[in-house]
Amino acid sequence: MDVVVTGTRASIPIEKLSSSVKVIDSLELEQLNGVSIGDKIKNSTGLSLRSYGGNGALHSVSFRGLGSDYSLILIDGQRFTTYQISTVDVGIFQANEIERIEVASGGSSSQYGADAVGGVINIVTKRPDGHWFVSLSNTLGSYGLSGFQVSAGGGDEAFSYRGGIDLKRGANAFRFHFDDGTGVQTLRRNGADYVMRNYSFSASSIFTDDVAAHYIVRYSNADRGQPAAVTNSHQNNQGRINDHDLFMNSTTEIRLLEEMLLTLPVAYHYNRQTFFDPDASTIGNTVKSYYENNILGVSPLFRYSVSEEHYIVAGAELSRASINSNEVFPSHREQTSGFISSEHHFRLLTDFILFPSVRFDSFSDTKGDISPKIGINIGVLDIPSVRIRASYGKNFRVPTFNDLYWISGGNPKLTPERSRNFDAGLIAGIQSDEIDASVELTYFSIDAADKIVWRPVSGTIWSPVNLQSVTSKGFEGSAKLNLWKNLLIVSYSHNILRTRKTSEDFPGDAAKNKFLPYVPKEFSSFTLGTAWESLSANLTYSFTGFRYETSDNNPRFFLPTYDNIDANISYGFAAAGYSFRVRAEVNNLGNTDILLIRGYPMPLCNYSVTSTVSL
Amino acid sequence: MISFLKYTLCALFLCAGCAKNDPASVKEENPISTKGVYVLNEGGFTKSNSSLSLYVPDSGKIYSDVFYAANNRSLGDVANDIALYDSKAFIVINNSHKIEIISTETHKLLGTINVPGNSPNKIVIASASKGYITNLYKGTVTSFDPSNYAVLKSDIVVGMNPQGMAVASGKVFVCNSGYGEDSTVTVIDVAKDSVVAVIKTAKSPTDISVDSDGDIIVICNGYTDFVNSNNDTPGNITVIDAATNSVKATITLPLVTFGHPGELAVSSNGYGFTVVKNGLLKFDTKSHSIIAPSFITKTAYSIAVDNISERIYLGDAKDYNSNGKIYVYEKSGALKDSATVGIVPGSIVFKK
Repeated sequence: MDVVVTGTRASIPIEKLSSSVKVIDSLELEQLNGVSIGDKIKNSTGLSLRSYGGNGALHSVSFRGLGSDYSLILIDGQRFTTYQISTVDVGIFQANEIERIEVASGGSSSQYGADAVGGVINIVTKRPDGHWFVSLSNTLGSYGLSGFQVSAGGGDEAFSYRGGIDLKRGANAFRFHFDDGTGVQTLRRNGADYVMRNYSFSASSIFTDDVAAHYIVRYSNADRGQPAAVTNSHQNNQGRINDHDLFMNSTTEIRLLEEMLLTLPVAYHYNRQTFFDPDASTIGNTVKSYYENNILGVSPLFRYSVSEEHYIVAGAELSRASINSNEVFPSHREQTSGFISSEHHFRLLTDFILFPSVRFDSFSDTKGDISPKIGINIGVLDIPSVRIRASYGKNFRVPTFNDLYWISGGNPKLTPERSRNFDAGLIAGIQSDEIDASVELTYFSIDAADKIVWRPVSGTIWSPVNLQSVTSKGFEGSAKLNLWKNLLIVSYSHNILRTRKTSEDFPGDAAKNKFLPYVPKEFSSFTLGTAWESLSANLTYSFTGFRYETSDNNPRFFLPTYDNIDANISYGFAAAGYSFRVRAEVNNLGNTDILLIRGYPMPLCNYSVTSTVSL
Repeated sequence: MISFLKYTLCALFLCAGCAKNDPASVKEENPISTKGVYVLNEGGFTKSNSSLSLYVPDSGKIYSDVFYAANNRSLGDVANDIALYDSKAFIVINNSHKIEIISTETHKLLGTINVPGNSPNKIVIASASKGYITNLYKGTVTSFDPSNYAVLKSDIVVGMNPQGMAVASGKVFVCNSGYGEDSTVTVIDVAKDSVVAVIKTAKSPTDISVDSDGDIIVICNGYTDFVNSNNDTPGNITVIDAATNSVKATITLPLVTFGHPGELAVSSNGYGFTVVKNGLLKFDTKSHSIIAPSFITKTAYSIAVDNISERIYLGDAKDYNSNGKIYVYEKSGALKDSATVGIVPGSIVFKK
């Protein structure tokens, strides 16, 4: 079983955690279709991806029926989500120089503070290991996709480094179907071109046996068209979004005693987004807005292994975040947080692990919260391994800078949104030389209150208020079978969701107890794969149920059920001292109309081929 | 091959998920040759879920979407305005960039005027051969022929963000709101399709109508400063003499009491209403004075008044993402009836 750090901040096998964490490792990252983090996680259990259309478009992640602003994105355990909007665009986050992605479903505010309500995604970057390598790839695909990637590394035991460059562009005039009621037409998307560049560098210094430091710098830039919703067949999109994103992290690890480890991460995140739309004839005045976020934080972490059975992690987080924008009043937020969590193994009748944790967060500009959580994991059987797990905790989402300080309508009186999350389930597995199989089943229930909703206050001005309560309950099941060391890989995941608004926005609100719009009641995916020597092939089928579009669940207006098939094949060989690999992938093999958001079509069938040479 | 693959995969994991479990299609009723009140529902922006409801006052019956019932499709994206003329309804679908023309007898589609690149907002029919559409973001008005749906002149330049229009004395009066940045009403000669006058008003004229004396009544919202409300300026009711193109009276609406006024409805019986902070303000179109500052204490997204029954109709947009409601009040202000309509009821017109 995989070992993860998300959830407890200590390395622990996933079957011994108190809640569900999935790992997409480097092998899977290679085997999954797509170019961005969004593409790589889209079929993970417990989450749904909302995309505004193909490569380069905005993609956001929603866990367990909650909106995308209830997901926290981390890089190497450090907060990446900004306080301006608590949504990260995983569509322009390139999967370059990434070692693995840990997807933790459920609330984790007791570890990670604000916004870790629905789930946490921890993107773990590749660490240099001192061996010398260089690798070059070239990608060509449908709709003008072309890409170039290079990565290289070297060094020795004391100082090692690696870096990568990933460049992608596409005209992206993809085909899609449009029906305005008079018949289906095949149109091409207009104004959706993109250029995405990512530069990554990381280094590790080992000073002594007890002191080491790791540095990473990731800079990315995405310049892309931002086409409007398709509401008629005359498209003339001129809107553009440009993102600059710089993330730096320096982590020093000091082993104080054999059982005591201190880590001192210092992280800086800068993001500047500009949006420009000159088309005043259909959108009103020319829109030109910019948003500049800066966040600098230190988050010392102290881990103490009291004994084999008891493990304590304590940490603090001090940060300062600021926003500079022409749409938001200039503002900043100083954050002071601290947490303590521990892991206790008992031997009662059976193996029993207890995970208590608590965190406090205080913010200079808005209310903070205290978030406790308790988790258990109980061994029922050893072979095959069967374990029961459960957790209960309080979580919160802090009002964003947009909510509080938006120039036309922001409400500085907002308070955090709160939730109580419960989950319980089992994880079972069997491992031998020939078979690696696991099954997971989780029930969850989330009660969220004080949900921030933008409401019209007068004329054209909308303003946010703490208004709604939402409950989300459901089952997540997944199974994975790996026979004869990757010769046959079968995996299946199924999600059943019931997410409802439980409050009234006004007396007689017809939307009370109705399902939240855009949340499917059901979605699933099935993957069949094989890897034999240097040949591998994968086929993924995914299904998403219909989604209501209105808050009162009017049966006239819904996004229909769709299914999608992605496939890829890859072959590698060695010649003249070089190793070569050719990989072909096809997305939407069934040529189906995938409608994730009304007016934002997804591409019909498309493909790409990547050739790699490495030394 | 692909569908074979798909169904094989479905069969492989025999799950409920493979069932095509979309909601069953909804049957809408379509009454033929029925008098009533049309409520045009904008729907959500980019959601393409505009609809046309028909309320029958005698029976209290509501037909939730007669356009869908007759044509088996949704109207389009953001239906902003409707004008009735000669057994036809002309419906402006802003974000679909088109005008749909239907029969008011059968609700069947008769024709479409496409206006790509424009942002059509309000419509008025001046005569059997002349109609006008404002282009919200272009500062222009398009004239067309309502008999054959041909565009006549697409670029009659007016002021910023033109919205409401009214016809009197052979002229079209166009409110140039500029969303607070403009303060003029442009006058267009219907015969020549050319601008003959520009009338200065208070800031942000948006809604407009003709009263029983043939005068033009304009609602000016006043200026709204999103950053500092101390810079706001009050709105008013402006009365324009249609013959001379001059302002003959104004009723000022202090900000403290009324906020910024919104929608307008004028009766041929000598009075009118506008939506203010605390509900509906009633005013006299003859003496140009306030009759009741808060005649009905309910704010509304849209209002209309029936000249015959003198009943008042209010449209309530609720949360802007679910079915709205109309409330019907007697002349006295007593609530008579209410009915569920479509999403964001924005225009109410009477079919005689």
